[in-house]
Amino acid sequence: MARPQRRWCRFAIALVVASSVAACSGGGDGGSGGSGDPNAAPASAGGPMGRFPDDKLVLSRWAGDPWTSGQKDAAAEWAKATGGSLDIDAVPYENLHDKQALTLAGAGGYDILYVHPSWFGEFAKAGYLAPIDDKLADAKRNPGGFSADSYLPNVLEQGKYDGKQYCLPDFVSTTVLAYRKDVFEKNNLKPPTTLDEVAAAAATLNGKDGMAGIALPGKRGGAVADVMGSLLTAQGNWWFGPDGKTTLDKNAAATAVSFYVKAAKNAPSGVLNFHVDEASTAAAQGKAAMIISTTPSLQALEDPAKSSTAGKWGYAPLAFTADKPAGELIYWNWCISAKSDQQDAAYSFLQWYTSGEQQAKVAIAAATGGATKDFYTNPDVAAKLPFLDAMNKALTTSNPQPSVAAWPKAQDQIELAVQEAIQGNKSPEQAADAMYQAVSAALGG
Amino acid sequence: METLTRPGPVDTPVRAGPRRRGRQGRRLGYGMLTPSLVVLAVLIILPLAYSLVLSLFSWKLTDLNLPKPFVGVDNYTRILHDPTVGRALVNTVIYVVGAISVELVLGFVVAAALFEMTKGRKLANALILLPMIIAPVVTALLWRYLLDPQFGLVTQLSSAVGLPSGIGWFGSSGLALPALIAVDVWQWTPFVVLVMHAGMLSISEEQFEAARVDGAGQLRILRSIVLPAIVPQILLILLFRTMDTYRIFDTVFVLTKGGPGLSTETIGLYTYRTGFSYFDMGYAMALSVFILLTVLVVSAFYIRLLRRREAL
Repeated sequence: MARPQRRWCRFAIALVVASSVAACSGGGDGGSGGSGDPNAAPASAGGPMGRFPDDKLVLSRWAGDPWTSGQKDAAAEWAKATGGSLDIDAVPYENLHDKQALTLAGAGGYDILYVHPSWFGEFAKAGYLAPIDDKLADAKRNPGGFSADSYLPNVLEQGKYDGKQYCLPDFVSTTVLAYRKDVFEKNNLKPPTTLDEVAAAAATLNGKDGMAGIALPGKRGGAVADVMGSLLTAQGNWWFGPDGKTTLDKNAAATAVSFYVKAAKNAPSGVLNFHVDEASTAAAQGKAAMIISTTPSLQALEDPAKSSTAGKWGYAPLAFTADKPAGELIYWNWCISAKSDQQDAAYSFLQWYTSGEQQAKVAIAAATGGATKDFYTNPDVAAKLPFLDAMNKALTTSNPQPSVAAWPKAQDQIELAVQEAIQGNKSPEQAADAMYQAVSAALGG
Repeated sequence: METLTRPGPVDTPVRAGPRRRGRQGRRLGYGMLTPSLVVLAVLIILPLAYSLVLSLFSWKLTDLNLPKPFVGVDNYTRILHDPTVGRALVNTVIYVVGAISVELVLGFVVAAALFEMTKGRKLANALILLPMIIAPVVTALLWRYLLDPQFGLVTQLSSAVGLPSGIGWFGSSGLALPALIAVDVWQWTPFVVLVMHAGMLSISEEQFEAARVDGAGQLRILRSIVLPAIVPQILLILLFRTMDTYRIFDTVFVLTKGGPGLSTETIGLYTYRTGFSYFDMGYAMALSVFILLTVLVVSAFYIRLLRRREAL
């Protein structure tokens, strides 16, 4: 009886060792393996590159529709075209960083990661992400004419760390102004081209026909800092310089806060508890003559199912001086895990999903922008997103928030300072000083 | 004279001596206790001990691969110098005292009304309990839409009857905390009603009759019979509600996220923010331990009062 048992043991051990060796040999070289053919031509025009019949990818992202469900459709399309499979692990945004960080610090498990700019630097520094320069430069594994040049350079640049390209961007958005064309005409006002004109128009229109002058986010949660960032850029200033240290000009910050306070005085009641959704709902339902918000939230204005004011809106970039439009570059990064042993298949999905054609589908469903140049010349997208022109102008001079781990705390302090100024607890100068302290603590300088 | 005697043991054949039976009994007792102790150790004691250990380190969730420097009690001394902790504690104490005071008064009134009811008491009881069975996050969302300054039902009704409308309850630093307290009162007064009503039902009818025969009025009955009889229930309510309100997080997170400014920042919310927004886990653990200790102190005080009451 003993011998057959021992044989079983030996067989089991041999099987485990063989599997381990096979697994190690597959992933030991940085994980570029996988058994597919990354150079296979797309099965149909505009389809993804490569054939990966044995690859089973796992993608980590935040949960939220229409983005998640749209991506599930895209994953099914990619799987059908390449023979691979792609599972999406979508978790609430609040938990995403922790789940990704803990998974990557452990045994891995994800092939593709949706990485927020605020923790991209942390992941790249820790070696969690795989560089993609070679793949992006390899003409064989990209569709004809597709290369790094296909992307907006300042957006693609955000996925670089230490000179290496790690990620491909999408979910591009910014903050712009929307104004009610009919209300401006009725009150003999010209469409505003500068922020001073916006503040003046808000004061004039506030209370007319039961409307507030302007709606904008006032709740701590990221959107206030987005607007503040745009207001700084519009003055040629930014939170940090090329060395990553703070370059915040207190005077520019005080001017930005001062505008915020003026606008909030003519905003709907309860503006300090408004995130972008509350602001856009108020505007869509005719409770505000203008709105400053992020572009995805502005889609609600033009949706007849959600808006009683659809078709009545005009859009303009934020600007203190008419010829200097500004915004904040809001985006997300698609990256490949360094521990993935299916990096070829992962790149195939990323290249295809961030292309203009796929991003047009996302944009039409969810109003976020792509990062490729052809996206901004797509007539279908322009018809669906009337703010595309204003967004494009704003993006020419927009900056991204810092990709450092300490930034979320600084951002919270920035928003707290704006709230304190709106409540009259701090002057714009005091709020600017508080911001400077917070940003300096986070970035140095 | 008849004397009461305890029933003696049934005559059964003796199989083991008393010492052996005692040992067996103890073994059986320990054996039955072991699963509970293991579960308690794995789910409560170990995580608690781990939190305590982590609170002595500087550990950033963003630096998982870096060593965690030991900082001793630095995270605890930081609590003493952190102005946000002070503000959050003040807000939390206002929330605890405000919510529990109103809940006790309202709960007593409703419980007394239920006690006096002769018909429909069961239905009233069931209806009163409804808010308590709704998840706090759902409650928060419900009130967020009810009190929305533009589209909320309260605004619409106020406007219809000519009252001031469009008040941004959660967007005003002066109103946000009272509004949060009101939401808590709406959800948790039923618990107070339930416990107080149970206490009232335990008072014997003879006590009321004797008081009435002695000429006691309603106020005297309330003061001398009802209130003293339900003191243990009140202490129990204070114990549970203090623990719950002190750790309040979910409704505040959904409704105000601590704003405007820091006007509704509570100690529970600040701890969450420190850990999961600022990724400063060592300090967040110290804050968690601080919350645990303060809750323990307050709870011990109530439990002592309860025991003293039982000893009387």
